[in-house]
Amino acid sequence: MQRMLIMLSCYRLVALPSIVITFVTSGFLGQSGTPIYLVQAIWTKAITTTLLLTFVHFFRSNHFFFYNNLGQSRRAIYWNLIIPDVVISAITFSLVLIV
Amino acid sequence: MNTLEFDSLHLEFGMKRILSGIYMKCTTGQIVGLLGRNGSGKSCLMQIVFGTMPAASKSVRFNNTRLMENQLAKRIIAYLPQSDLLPPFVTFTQALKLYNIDKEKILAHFPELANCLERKSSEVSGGQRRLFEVLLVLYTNHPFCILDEPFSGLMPLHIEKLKELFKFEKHRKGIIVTDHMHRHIREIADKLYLLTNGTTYRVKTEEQLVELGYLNEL
Repeated sequence: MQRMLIMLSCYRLVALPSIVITFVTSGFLGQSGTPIYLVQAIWTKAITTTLLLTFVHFFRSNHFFFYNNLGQSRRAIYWNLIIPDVVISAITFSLVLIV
Repeated sequence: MNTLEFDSLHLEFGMKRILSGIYMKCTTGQIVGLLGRNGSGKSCLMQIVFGTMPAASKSVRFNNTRLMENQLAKRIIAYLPQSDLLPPFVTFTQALKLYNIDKEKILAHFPELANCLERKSSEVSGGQRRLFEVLLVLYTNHPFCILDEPFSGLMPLHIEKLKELFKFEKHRKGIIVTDHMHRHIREIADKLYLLTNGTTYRVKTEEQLVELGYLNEL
């Protein structure tokens, strides 16, 4: 439970732009109406997530100390940013393709 | 009783040597003060010991066991940076929950923080935020804490209360503290070091601070 709370708290560092990008990408995927565009959607997410992490690395890493005190290394923090994003994207893309 | 000790610590930025010839030791029950001029490398030293800044070489030992790459996961040292600790979107209550600290512990000494508990750190004053951050790090269960400028932005009343709290909390942990308010540090420190020219010097008399160029006069 504590582990999950830490992960979600970390994810808030990028949650807003990340979720907006996921929804916009899902919108395009839904409009196309075909799973062929799923590869493009995944690449879009991969590239934008890399850019977001780069931004966090250079401009938001001063917030890392808060999580370092909770036993999170820099690498663990990056995983905390990536894993929820992958889960949210996977669920959203799946729902769009099913509906 | 726990011991935190570090030496053989070297840090260079390009050709410029920042730290070398460092030795410090802190045990449970001690407040260790670290003084130094601006740019002397105090914050770098603390971050290297904490484990978030790489150094050319270092030896940080906890109870005579060398701390390696995974030291953060062991939660031995809690660190208060010079800049803000709390991310702006975290409320005080959320921070207490994540750090597993009972809010009553904080309110017992600082009841004025009660009306800030549900606010995000970006919604409170700088002084209130700093006070809360110091308490957060002080009340962790880590056996040691490193406090970088804990008194900056605090009103004198809170500084005096915090000093008393440091003296009380040192019975369960070792505290390493640095601040430019050297009189407060000298008052509470059981052991004092001065960082100058990249090297730490153990300070036993106040006159040494003048001799080593930290103060012009006492």
